[in-house]
Amino acid sequence: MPKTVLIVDDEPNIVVPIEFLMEQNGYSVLVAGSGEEALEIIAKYEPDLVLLDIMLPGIDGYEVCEIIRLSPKWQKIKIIFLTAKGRDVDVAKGMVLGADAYVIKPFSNIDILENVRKLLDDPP
Amino acid sequence: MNRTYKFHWLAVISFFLPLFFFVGIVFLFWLYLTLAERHLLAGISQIHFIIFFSATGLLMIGLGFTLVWILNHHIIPAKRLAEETELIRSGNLSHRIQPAGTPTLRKLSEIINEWASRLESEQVDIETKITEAKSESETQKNILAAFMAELPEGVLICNLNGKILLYNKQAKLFLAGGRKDGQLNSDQKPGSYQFVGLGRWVNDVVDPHLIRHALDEIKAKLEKKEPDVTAYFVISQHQRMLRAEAAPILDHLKTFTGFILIFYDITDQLQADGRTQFLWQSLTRHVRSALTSIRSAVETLIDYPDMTSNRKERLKQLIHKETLNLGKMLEDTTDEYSGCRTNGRWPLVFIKDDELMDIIRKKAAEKTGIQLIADDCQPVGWVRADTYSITLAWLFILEQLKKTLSRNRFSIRLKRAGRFVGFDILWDGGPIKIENLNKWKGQTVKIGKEGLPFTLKEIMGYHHMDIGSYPGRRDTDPSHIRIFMPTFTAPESIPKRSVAILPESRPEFFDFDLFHQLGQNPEMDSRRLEELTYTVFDMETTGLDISGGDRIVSIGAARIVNAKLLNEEQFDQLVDPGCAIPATSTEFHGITDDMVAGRPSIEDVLSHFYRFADETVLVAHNAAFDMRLLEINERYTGIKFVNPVLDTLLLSAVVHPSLGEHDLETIAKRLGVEVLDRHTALGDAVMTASIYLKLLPLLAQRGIYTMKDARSASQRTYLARLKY
Repeated sequence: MPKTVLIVDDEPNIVVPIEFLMEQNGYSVLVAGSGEEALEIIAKYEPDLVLLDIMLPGIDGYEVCEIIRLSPKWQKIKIIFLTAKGRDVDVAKGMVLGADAYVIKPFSNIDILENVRKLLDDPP
Repeated sequence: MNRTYKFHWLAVISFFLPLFFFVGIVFLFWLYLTLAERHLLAGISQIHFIIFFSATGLLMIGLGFTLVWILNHHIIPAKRLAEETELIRSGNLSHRIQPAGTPTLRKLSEIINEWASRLESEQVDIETKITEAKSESETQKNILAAFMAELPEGVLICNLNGKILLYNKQAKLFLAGGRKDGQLNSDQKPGSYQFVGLGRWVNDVVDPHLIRHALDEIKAKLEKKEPDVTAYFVISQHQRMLRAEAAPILDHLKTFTGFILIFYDITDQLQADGRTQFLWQSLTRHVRSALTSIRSAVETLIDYPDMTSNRKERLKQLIHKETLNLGKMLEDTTDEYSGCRTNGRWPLVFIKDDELMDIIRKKAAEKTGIQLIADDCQPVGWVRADTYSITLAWLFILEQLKKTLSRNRFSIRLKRAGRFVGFDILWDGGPIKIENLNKWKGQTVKIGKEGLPFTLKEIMGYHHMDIGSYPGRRDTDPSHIRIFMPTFTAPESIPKRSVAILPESRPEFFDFDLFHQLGQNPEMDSRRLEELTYTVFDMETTGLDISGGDRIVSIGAARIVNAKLLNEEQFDQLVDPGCAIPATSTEFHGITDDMVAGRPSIEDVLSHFYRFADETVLVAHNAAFDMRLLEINERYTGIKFVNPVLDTLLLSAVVHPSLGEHDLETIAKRLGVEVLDRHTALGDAVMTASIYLKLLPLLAQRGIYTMKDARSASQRTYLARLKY
């Protein structure tokens, strides 16, 4: 059964290529455009990994991360922050919240794919 | 005993004493003679009586003349000499003694006169030096005052208790939020207005905690002997952010005796900084986001060449769209960035584009001999400029044009160009090459000996200006260069008030007890009149029947502190009376219904005025009228004025009891006070204040020094003037 990746970003133009990339690499892909939508999908499908943007309308990425990490049944879900913010303090803040990795935009397909594979223990 | 009286005594004694001795000697001689000898002598005497009598008479007359001579040449001159010397000694150094009497006395007079001359010339020298020193210090004071007034920073100087000793108008503008104390904005509640003035308290306008904190910090720094003993803080006042610097004032013993507060308005700077930061963050975020999409899409296209054509097309469109987005974003940010930098630190002032053009035209003719002919000017509005540097920049461009085109006559016009106004310089013939324009931009701006250490590009940069060169559309059309300047919305204008002047005076009012105000107290009563702080005020009304319902339409007041009239601390407020102003009253004071429409109500104005006049002595001309008005209004406003009151009408009658006329204008003329702005509340208040200051020395001549003296004298005069 393919592993599921949830992409959370309010920019559809970012979602399109990543969605294709994940599909091409054998992942089942879910997409959410906001924090609220992401939480609904997580509750319903419990994905294996979440690619999470920080700057989201409504509940931001930090909050989504916090909610996932506070819920015992979602402990196994891996989280990678995708964000335009690149300041040291943002990275530190994300990691403290329990993110597994951090990818700063603009990233390469390889960066994101390697991070996903590593976290999901998949061979390249 | 007077001199003549004394002389008579002397004459009597001088006459009788020798007579007594003479008679005594004759008597003794008589006793000594034998009887026969007595008979013989009596016989001789009888025969030669005439001779004896004449000899005695002549002796007496000689004695009298000697006596008069002694009196005139010794006693009287000596006495006069003593008195006149005393006169010189006691202050009248220019007095000279008329030499009289004996040569010794004359010599003595000359010596004293010489001594007085020497002393007088020394004193004149000293006085000249004092006058010079005074005038020098006055000049320096004026320079300081002018300098303070023109500072863009607000400056307050306070003593350690926080009493304001000196301030400039900028400080007042920043802290009080208005130039004039007595001008409430329609959206401003009277309680929210803070007064800045001499003798007022800094704590009223700046949070006392901040002041305390700053003073503690300064003290600590002074104790530690730190090189920088200034304390810094930021306050928000009237929607403006002010950066404040507090610096100590030390006396010659290095004791902390007061402090200076300097306020900088950093609102615009903060806004610009905030806006720039926001733009920067938003730009980086969007650029990153767009680049992510593009990069990811491109890599996907490269890595998966076999994807469906449908998907390929979608990715290509995505890339195209994101690149367009990037371009637009850059454009928008650049525009916004230039907008938020217009409030930079360069000292730009608002000026109308056509006024700026006029200045440039005049200067061009004056300094470069170039004639500019205005042609098709369509003024757009306000620009912001440092007129000096911008005029130099213009003249510099004109000089270059003159050199390049060998002409000294150009047409100029104003044209709108988006949010810019274009200042065009036109001529018949070919255009200037852009290459030339760029060369000029790199040169330092200099006209003859005048110049600035900036290039044309820099000056244009500070003004957010640009310059372009354009050929005529058709060959016959003139070429031109256009100088673009950003336009702005109009700055707040200052309202002007015109007033009709008609001579008429109010009747004297006596139905208010001026002499038993609740605010009177022994401490104030005993203070000298020069030391007190006064609010000299006047009010205009809808009519003179104040008990019958006529209302206040305007209040004007001036402040006197330490016997000085403070022109910067005035109260000038129109009041909406809530009823129509009769035409007869409008004729008198020039205030119309339109002028008072939308102005604050009497409740708000009186509450504001109450605070303005707090802790001062109220002075008015015919004060009973104004006090009665305030008393009547107490019913509506609940505001009771308990301040002690002085009336210039009564005080004038105190100093000139025999002169019947004591209306404001007559007194003003009598005392040499300029009559200006009659029948405006502020104009009359200022005039009354000037009169009051002129009355002070005249009152002192009559032994009236204190508040109590002035009130008692007024009361006596008041009773004298009562008409039953």
